[in-house]
Amino acid sequence: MKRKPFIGLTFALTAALFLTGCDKVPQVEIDAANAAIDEVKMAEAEVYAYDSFVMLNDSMSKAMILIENEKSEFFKNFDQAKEHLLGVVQFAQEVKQKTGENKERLKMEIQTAIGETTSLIESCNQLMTEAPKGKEGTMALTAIKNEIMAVDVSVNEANALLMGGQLLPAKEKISAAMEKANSIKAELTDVITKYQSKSKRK
Amino acid sequence: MGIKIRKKLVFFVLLLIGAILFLAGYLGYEAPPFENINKAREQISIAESLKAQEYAPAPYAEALMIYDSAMREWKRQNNRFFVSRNYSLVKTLVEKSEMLACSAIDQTAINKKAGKDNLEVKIRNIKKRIGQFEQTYKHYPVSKNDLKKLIKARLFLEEAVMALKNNRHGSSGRLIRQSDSLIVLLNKQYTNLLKEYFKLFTFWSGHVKETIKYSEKNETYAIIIDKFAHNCYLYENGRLVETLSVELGQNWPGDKKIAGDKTTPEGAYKIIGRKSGEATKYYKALLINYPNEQDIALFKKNQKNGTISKKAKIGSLIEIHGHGGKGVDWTDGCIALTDTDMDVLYRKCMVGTPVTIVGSIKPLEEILKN
Repeated sequence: MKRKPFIGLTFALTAALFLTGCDKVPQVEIDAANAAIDEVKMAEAEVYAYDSFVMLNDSMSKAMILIENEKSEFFKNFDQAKEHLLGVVQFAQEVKQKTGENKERLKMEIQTAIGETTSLIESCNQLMTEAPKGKEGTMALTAIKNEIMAVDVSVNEANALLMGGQLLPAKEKISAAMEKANSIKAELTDVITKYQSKSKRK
Repeated sequence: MGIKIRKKLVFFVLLLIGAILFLAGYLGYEAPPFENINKAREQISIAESLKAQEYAPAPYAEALMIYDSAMREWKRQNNRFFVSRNYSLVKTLVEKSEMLACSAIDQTAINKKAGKDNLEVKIRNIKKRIGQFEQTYKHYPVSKNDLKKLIKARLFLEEAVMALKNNRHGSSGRLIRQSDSLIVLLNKQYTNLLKEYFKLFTFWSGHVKETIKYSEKNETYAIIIDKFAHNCYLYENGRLVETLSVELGQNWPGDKKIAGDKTTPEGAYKIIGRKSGEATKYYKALLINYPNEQDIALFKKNQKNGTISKKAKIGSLIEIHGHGGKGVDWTDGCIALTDTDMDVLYRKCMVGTPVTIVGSIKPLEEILKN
């Protein structure tokens, strides 16, 4: 009769010992963090928020280290890892949002640049109509017209890239086109001025 | 009673042995290399943020692979009974991974700089080649399509510069290659055209020598027109005294074949008329004897062999005249100078002054070398 409480106590202590030493791996939190990271990848954070994306990956690696470290312990406690994984999910949402914002900003910049370049092309075409119509003037302007057409093609290509979601190449293309359009406008103004001054001298 | 005591004793002895074993195991328990793993992770993350996967792919990939192996080994050890766990391999692996990640970081810095420098050099070289092409063919009638290619080459290069500014070295490299292939193609195409045109160089050279010799021997002025350079050279007693810029017909390369082909003729001619005032609409003009006997003979031969239409007419009224300086080739085959330069020629060149028109006075090799 005296032995029973003693055995019971030993059993209870052992069970408590095992229970405290066998905290479960936070699989739900791991899955949630991985899913959040997948969403970030889908949002193309690797392209449009690269540094944050790297930090997010690193944060997940850190969480996995914390989990594995707890698994090494005799008395396991995954609370810190769980907390960290929740942080990963939250950070992933922030990165996703930042990616979206960056993409939107870039889209706006590209659209503005496309608009500006189109206006530049229009004003170049307008200057073309104001240019002298003599055969020599026409020849000089034909060369410039070809350049305008090439810039116009670039604008269309940039638009296509924008529609296809290739924002960085689109930005680079339209920036180059805008620079060229600006130089054409300056060149065209020069040519017109030159011919106009020559006409006056005649 | 004795049995009960013995049982209790056995139970306590076993419990004691268990406790001693547990304590021994706990005290002798080797902790995993947590700090080392974290260091390796940090270094890999730094390498990734620097894009080591692009600039130092080999050490970066190896560092990542070994890190993954270390994590797997750690898991494997964790699945073992705690007293029999051994993390030495994990430690070795993460140390190696960290070392490789550090090496990837160093290599990235070096390769990134070298890569950027390399791309900058390539951009400079292509810019130079585009400039050289534009310079070489500044007077040459480049076709609309080829002009578009040239513009495209310049635009690709501008895009490459933008991509390089955004540290997108891969894209920059791709755009540089696109630009390069266009300019290489154009260079090859137009060099071949010039090679074909310059097949007559020996003939031109002979004409030029004869003209200078004539000027020296007869103590007179002589005009030599270099179509490729768009220059008019005035010789006095065999010495070069003036170099003036000229503008020609739109399709100046090659010899004039028919009226209206907008080509400036090539050959040895002389001034047969001088016009000024109301006699010319181009300020002042020196009429040359085009077509001469050889031109007429060649025209007839070409008509006979079908090279030119039977209905075609031979050109005439080729002049050296004013109203030039427009910066483009605009005449129907005449040679235009600025009015100031025309004054110089008009003052010195009388009827009978030889006018030699050639494709070039310099050999092609020299032009392309320059």
